[in-house]
Amino acid sequence: MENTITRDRVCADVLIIGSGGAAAIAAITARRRGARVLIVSKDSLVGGATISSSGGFSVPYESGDGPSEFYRDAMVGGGHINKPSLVRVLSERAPGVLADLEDCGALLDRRAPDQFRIVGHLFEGHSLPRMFVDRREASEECHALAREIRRLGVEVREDVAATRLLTRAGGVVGAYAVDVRSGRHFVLSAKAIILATGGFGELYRTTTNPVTLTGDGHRLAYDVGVELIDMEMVQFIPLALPCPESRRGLTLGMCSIYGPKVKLLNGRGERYMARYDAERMEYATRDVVARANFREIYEGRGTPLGAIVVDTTENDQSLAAQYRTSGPDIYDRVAEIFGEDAANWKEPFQAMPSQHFCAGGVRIDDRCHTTVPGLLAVGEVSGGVHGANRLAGNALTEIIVFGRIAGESAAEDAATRGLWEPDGEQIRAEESRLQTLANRTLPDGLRPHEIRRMLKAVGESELGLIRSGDGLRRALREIARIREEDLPRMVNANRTTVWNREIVGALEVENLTLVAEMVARAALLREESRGVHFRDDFPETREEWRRNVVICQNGSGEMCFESVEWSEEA
Amino acid sequence: MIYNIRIVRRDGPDDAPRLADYQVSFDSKETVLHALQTIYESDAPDLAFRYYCRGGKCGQCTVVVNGEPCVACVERAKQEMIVEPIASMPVIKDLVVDREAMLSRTKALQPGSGRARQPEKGPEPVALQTLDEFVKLSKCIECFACMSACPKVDGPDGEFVGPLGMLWLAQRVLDPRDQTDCVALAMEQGLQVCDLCGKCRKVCPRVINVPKAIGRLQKMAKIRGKTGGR
Repeated sequence: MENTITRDRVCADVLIIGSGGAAAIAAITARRRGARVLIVSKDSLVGGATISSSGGFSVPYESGDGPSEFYRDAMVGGGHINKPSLVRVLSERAPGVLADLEDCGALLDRRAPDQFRIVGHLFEGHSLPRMFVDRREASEECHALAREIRRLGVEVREDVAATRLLTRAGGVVGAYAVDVRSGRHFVLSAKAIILATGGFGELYRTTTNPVTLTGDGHRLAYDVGVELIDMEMVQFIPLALPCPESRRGLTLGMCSIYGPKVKLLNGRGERYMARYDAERMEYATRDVVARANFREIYEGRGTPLGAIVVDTTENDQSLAAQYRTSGPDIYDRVAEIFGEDAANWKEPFQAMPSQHFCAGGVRIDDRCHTTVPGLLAVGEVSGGVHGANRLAGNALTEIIVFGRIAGESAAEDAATRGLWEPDGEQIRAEESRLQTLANRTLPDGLRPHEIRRMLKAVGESELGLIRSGDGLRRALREIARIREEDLPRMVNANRTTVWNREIVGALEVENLTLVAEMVARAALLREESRGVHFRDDFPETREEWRRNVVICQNGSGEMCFESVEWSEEA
Repeated sequence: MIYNIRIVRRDGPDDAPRLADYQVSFDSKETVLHALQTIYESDAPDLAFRYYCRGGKCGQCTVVVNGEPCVACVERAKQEMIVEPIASMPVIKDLVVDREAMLSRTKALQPGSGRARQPEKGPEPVALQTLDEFVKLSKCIECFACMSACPKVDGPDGEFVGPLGMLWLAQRVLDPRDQTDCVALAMEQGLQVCDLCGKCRKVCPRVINVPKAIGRLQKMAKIRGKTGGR
């Protein structure tokens, strides 16, 4: 077929891939320091997992709380495999995140005229009350950040997917990208490039995440030899919508927002948490409750809907209105699907666990640099801050703290690093790869969503809350089959150029296939249970596994694994 | 359940609309977005529609169903429905519109623009009653349903900036940190064009009382005697 690709070249000091909260803070920070910033994202601004979140920020705010208390909780929660220096930075800077957001124009919720709204009843791994919750969940922050980005004159290109990083002399110097709106291709050149693409919730059938989280940054980084860590650490939230199918997995939070006397019941009416954590019961940490919920459903003790029952009716109902303000959108969702009585604690409702967060990702240092020069990473795409399990509210705090650091670092790097002419051969190779995907038509072809569904099935059954050696090996066989048999048969059923989601969908499926392999192989290596990673064949935490799995592509294109201990470098 | 769905499709901004009919089947509790996805997967791989969060939060999947703008990932599908792109914005393709022109016109109106940098130690005091009112108005998800429903909005360059721009200004009037004369700004943007018909409130997924907020701005303008005879 004739080559009809139109290619544009765009240059910037700092290129940011992604448009969630981490990308936004990084962009604002770098711009305020004088850098020319370009954001490209296949999502909208500010979107990503940030706009989907319930808006909880963990902040040491009360008297008696501070960086050392915050640090201790995060390390305990993370099974002591978090990278200590990253946790230290998070703990020290956490107290400032709300002021940083107001500095970008947000007017955050308050409990008193001059006090931010920390709610007293949300702990979940935190030893002190430190959960800031806004009655608008995260929308005020997201909108304020988007406006500040526009005001500062950051160049934003929505609906643009980065498909490959371009390298020169051992460093990253730009990216190749496709504009979904026009079908045009871009060569983006920058002095510093920040990955802020989020996690890979789309590997799971049931997820709280937006549909754009497909491991894109993981793939981009892996392809240029960047190291990734803790990829087996995938977190689930205990409660989410079981139906309808198009809304399956949307978060309903955790038990602590449903009153002090909330009970979880299985399909037989048994209060099963007694079998999993007799002391904390429904108020155990989210990994424990999510796994219990999953096991009840998985082992056939769920409701006919394939869910468990959240019974709020024994609570003092006069407290319902107050609790509702700690998750207003969540309660509205309960009311919408199960009726107003369910949201007012007068009737039970049904829920199921849902994939929520990827604790692992691209390995970064304290300044958000990856292991390859020119490339930085921030937010959910990065790994190390949360170790084996993230505490509630720590993700939003992380993106503000490290978003700012990534922006500072990138602006500094841009001041000393030149703009490189991209390598023509890499550009041609990428163009040809995309052309092959775009032009492929086969009689027995598969569309991207069909393969995606198969990957999601593997993710849900084998790479989720309960894993085993047999299951992980089964998953690896299926992933290899998909890679060898299905991906080469993936076709583009859309012959138009404007808003062609089939091509981006195809790239996403390739990325998810790679990420699925990383998760499965790292999980198979880790013969123990720790934090969110649970092996039915190795249910105990083992001291010799107080270390991290590092993944990297070697010179011959093989996926290599190594285990490291942070204490060596921290 | 069987659904008969007609979609108003366009290949590009300058192309004439054409009607495409689809018949699909799915569970009765499913959403408009589910209907679009089903059509995309079974019949129309070139159907353009935008969606990200699936949870009624990102405000990007807004379409018009049987004449009423709604957020597709929340709105229950109707057995017979005509789906169109939201009004008053240039169409990129099918159901996807370009909001950029409207967003850049309203850059100076958006909250956060008129305040000095905050002091190192926050937060600045805000009376709780004022804050409550501000929170109510800022529950907006920027889905543009109100912009589509408003009979007075006439494209990104029309006289009236529309309910969303006015809602932003009404928020800023409440923010004690914002020193801008937002009433004057509102007048420049066609405040008096609005006749408080209430259509914006009816379609708001967050049930924000936009007419009340605009009415308050109009009253403030009147008190100041700045209505200028318009």
